Amino acid sequence: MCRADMVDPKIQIENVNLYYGTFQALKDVTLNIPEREITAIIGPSGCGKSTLLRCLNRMNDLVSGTKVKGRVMIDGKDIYHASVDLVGLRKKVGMVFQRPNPFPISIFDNVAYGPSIHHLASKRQRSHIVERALSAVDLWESLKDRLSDSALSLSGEQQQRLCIARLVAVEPDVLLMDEPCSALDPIATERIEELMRQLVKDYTIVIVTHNMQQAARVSHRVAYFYLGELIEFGPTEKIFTRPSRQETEDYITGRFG
Amino acid sequence: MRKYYEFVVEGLIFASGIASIIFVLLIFIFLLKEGLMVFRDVGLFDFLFGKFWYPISEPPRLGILPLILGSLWVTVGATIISVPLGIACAIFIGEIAPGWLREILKAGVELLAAIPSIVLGFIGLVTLVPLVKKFFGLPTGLTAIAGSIMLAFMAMPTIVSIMEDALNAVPKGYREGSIAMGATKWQTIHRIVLPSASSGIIAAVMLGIGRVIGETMAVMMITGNAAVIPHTFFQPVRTMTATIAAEMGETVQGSEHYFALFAIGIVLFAITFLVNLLADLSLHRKPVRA
Ligand SMILES: Nc1ncnc2c1ncn2[C@@H]1O[C@H](COP(=O)(O)OP(=O)(O)OP(=O)(O)O)[C@@H](O)[C@H]1O
Ligand SMILES: [Mg+2]
Repeated sequence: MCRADMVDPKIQIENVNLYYGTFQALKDVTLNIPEREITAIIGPSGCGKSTLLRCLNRMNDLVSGTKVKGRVMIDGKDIYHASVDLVGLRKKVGMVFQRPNPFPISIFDNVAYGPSIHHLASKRQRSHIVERALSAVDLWESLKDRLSDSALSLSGEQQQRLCIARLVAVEPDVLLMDEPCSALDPIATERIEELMRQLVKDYTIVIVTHNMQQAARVSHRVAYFYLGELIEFGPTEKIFTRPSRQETEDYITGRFG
Repeated sequence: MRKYYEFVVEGLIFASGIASIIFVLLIFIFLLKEGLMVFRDVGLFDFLFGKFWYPISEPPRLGILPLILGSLWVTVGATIISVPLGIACAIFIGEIAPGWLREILKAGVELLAAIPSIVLGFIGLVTLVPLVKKFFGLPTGLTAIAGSIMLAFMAMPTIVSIMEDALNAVPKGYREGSIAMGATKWQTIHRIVLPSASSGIIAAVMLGIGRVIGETMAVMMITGNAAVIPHTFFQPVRTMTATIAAEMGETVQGSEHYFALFAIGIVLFAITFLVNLLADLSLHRKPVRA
């Protein structure tokens, strides 16, 4: 399922230590995330999965008292360097949240929001972008006649798809997904996973999940975290069939704790 | 035994609940009973749109158009000043100011709300009125504009605190979602946060206006109280509230003048009721959800 070599990591996380005030949430994490693959981050609650994800688009900057040491390189550029433009970074690295959070405006405006704030297209071109983005998440056919309806009128699964479409509209490179299916039923979950398999042809995807089957089903690689430390990182089939660390095995077989 | 106890407690609670409604009804009935008497002598149209308020001439002329317009000018002026300021202030407090500054500002706004209106009016009279006179080069500073500025200060705390609550109620996920897309703070505020809070913002503005329309003491002290139809902000005006407050003490109970003052009360009541209703409607408007 995964490529043997990793010549071209999209994201290089090097010796990252992250502190919330005095509490250390990430401990010397080093990890290479390959391009156009799905990398799953798993581990028990509070082990720092979301924290790591939020390092990659610098959403942790919003939490006051956060300190980051080490380097995070995307396409070979350190995103924590002083010269980095956060707007550009977050355009390139999009994020899908645990609870679908479409804006309380129309479906069309949700998708057009990104292109509009990034001045990507004229008003006329925007409807093309919206169509393409909604098609990419398989919403176009069902929603094309009600684009002016409020996004809050959609089902949970449609809302999550819309949130993905909203990102796709600005053509990012990386999609970060923090438990994107935890508010969805199993059927919707499966359909979102199918969508991820389509999207990974164009995007590098990092997903946090508590669902072992989900990690096994969709990801190419798995990183197991415990108490802020990266315990094991490797190809999915290896992690799930013959993990090299006992802790990893205990966790994925449910013998954890 | 226990059953009786329950019964008595329930009855008491019911009675106190009902009492407030009964009081409102009684007040309303009294207001109507006294106020409607005036229409024995003047028609509704002549009362509302009559251009002259000479209540003690013989026969009295009871047209309240100058008073309605006086209230209107002062209120519109106060709204024009206080709404943008209030919105900006609420955005600053709720979205931009760092924690410590936010607390100071909130305390300041609460303090402003706590100043009795007579005190504000008094301060306005000795500071604002001369300033207005000098700044605009007017024969007198006792004008609609002075009243508007003063009332804007009174409406600010209402507008700011309700609007701040409205901003607070906007889910964190909206802001995070927008910031995570690369939107700047300002883009997030004006494209996502403000539209999400729009019903609360409208309610805040409405309640602020309600406060302004009903205000009496301060306007009476600084608007000049001339019952003539105002043409600019720089003329003395007389509001409906000030008219009632100033004239109720010196009128003969049961006279036409007396009834007319009650009728002005009805007009005021209708206006504030309408404004509060609008505020309520927008505050409780449910967002569309499937
Ligand atoms: N803003 C914050 N301030 C202080 N500590 C925090 C903050 N956010 C998270 N933490 C702590 O950092 C640790 C890692 O949190 P994080 O949210 O990354 O965990 P997680 O692995 O995503 O957990 P979950 O599976 O429950 O989502 C936790 O112990 C948490 O209490
Ligand atoms: Mg998490």
